[in-house]
Amino acid sequence: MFTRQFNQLNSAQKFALFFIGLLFVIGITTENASSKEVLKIGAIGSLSGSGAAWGIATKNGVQLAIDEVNDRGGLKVGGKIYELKQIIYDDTYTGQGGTTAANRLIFEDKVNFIIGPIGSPAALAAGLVANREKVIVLCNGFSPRIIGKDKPYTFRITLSTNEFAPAIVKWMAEKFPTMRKVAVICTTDEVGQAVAPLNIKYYKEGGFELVADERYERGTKDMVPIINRMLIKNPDIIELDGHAPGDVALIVKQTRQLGYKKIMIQTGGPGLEQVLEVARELAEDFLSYNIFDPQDPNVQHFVKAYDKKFGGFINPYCPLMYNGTKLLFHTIEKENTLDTDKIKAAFEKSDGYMTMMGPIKWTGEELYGIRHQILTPFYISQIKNGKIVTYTKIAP
Amino acid sequence: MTLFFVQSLLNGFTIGALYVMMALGFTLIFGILRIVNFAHGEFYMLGAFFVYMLFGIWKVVGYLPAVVISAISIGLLGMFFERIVFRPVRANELQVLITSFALSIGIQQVSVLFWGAEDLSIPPPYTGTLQWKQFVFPYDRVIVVGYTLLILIAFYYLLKRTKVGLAMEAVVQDKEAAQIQGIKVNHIYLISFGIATLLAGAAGGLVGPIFALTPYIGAMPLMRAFMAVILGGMGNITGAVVGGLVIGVSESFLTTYFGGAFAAIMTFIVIMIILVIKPSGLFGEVGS
Repeated sequence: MFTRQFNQLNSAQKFALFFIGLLFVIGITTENASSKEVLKIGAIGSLSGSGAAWGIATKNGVQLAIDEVNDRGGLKVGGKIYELKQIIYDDTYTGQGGTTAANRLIFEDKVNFIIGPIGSPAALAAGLVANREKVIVLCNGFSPRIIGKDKPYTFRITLSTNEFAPAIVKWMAEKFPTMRKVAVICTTDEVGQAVAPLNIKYYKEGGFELVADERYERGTKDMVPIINRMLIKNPDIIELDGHAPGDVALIVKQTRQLGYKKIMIQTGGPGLEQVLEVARELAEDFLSYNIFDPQDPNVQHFVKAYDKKFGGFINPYCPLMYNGTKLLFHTIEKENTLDTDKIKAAFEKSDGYMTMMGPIKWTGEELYGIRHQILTPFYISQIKNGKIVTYTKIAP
Repeated sequence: MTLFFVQSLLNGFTIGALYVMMALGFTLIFGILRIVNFAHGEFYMLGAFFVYMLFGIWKVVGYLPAVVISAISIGLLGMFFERIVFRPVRANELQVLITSFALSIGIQQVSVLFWGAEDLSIPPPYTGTLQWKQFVFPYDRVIVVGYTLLILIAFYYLLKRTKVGLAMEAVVQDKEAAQIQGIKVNHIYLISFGIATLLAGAAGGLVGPIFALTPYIGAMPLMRAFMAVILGGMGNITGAVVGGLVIGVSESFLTTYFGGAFAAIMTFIVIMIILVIKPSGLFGEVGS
């Protein structure tokens, strides 16, 4: 049957068919010839919406760590050499997005390791899926529910509210002794349900008075009505806790436009570059928790590598996701296995591993029931004259 | 307290103005072409980004000329899409629906390629606030309300006092009869789509400096436009205006006096109650 049909083709058609077949054969053999096996590293991040700055930070941080390994020949495990490849999906900063992304990575792409998400709704959701399948998750998200005895494969590789908020509140009390009335604004989802109450708790323990506690639906763009509700209580401090960068930027802009001149701080985030981009001169004096100082001499190799590959501003989560990914690769090679149970156990003993921001320490037994919370120094930054400046460094 | 009330009202008119412009375009397309255009929010987004480029990045014109150029450009783009994308499938409602979804996603993703996914902003064309005692109202919001009124007046004039507007009405009433009268129906479809997307582009350009820009900002105004049109009556111009204002003002009041979470629920409950009483919408006709 095919012979008859082939004979009906003219010369040009036969040549085209032959050429396509040749390309196919070359492709297959070349693929086989160059292989190293490919090890897929999963990643989840908000690649759209108000959390996009963090999702892109995750993608870039993971990629830089992957490039370092691939450039030196690949990841050596169990007598094989693996070429690393990142597979990242958008969680849209929602629980549903986190679940969908985790399902695709685990069941379609067959990954054993996931970096991210950043953001409590997605991190909580993805962690539930991953832990059932014994997939290691290295994530962030300020909700205390993200790590725990019931999630033995989840590690939080950045600080959360419990780790940095007490120190920041203490600093605020010392720095602004006459400013005592706090208004908190947050979303109605997991961030508002689990993260904002923590900030409120620490403010109250620090001797501050809560004058307003406002919630809004994520995705709201016109914040003026809810800001008016806060301003009528005449707060000294407006606290933006775990907001995504896009939302922080809008709230800062619209609050300052309404004439509020006192303190605005984010004990969470950070998303300072977004605030600067959107609020511009209205961002002046905005304070925020921060996790990266690009002027630090110890991080210059990272800054140069980032500048060469991506250019532009480095979101602070990028070096943290880079650090976490490097720790993962280091642990895999040290244990010489891809078995997630063995990697998990080795992770728990990796105190002292040196990152560009200093040695890591695992904590969390008391607060979360499991030592899966990383502990590192952090900073308070401020926007001054259109630039982000490091105000002070704090060891939690 | 009175000042607070007035402030809430003005806030509501500002956001209501955005919803009105979006709803007008949305209902125009439905009323004349019988298309539910799920890509309408993307024309709003493009309007904002065109102003961002013209006024914020290239700095070739002032803010208002940028809004005008942007609106006209988006209108022409809309006409292009009507001719090339929608006209071939117009006879089949399901195909039109799928096409508009596909167009929405396509415009979004092309925009991501051009501008990225992170928040950008248009430099504020107007700074400062109108202030009296506790009453504070940013000038840029006053401008939005003012220009929306002008656009509405122009739109009303176009519909009621020009040949094009009368032809559009004739096509809505009876397409075949309009054709018999010599009205080129396809031209009217093209012009209507262009006007609708021009309104969306103008809305994006006017409101863009107040909020931030990403390729995904079209979703919220589209949802609100949809709500306004359902509330006001599909295909009804007056209904779209009233629906947009009702939603904007009620959102503002409910949020200011009862909080964000309550407002989100109550806005939908209010709409549901109205639709239970009058399923065709406030100004819709029975059976529409």
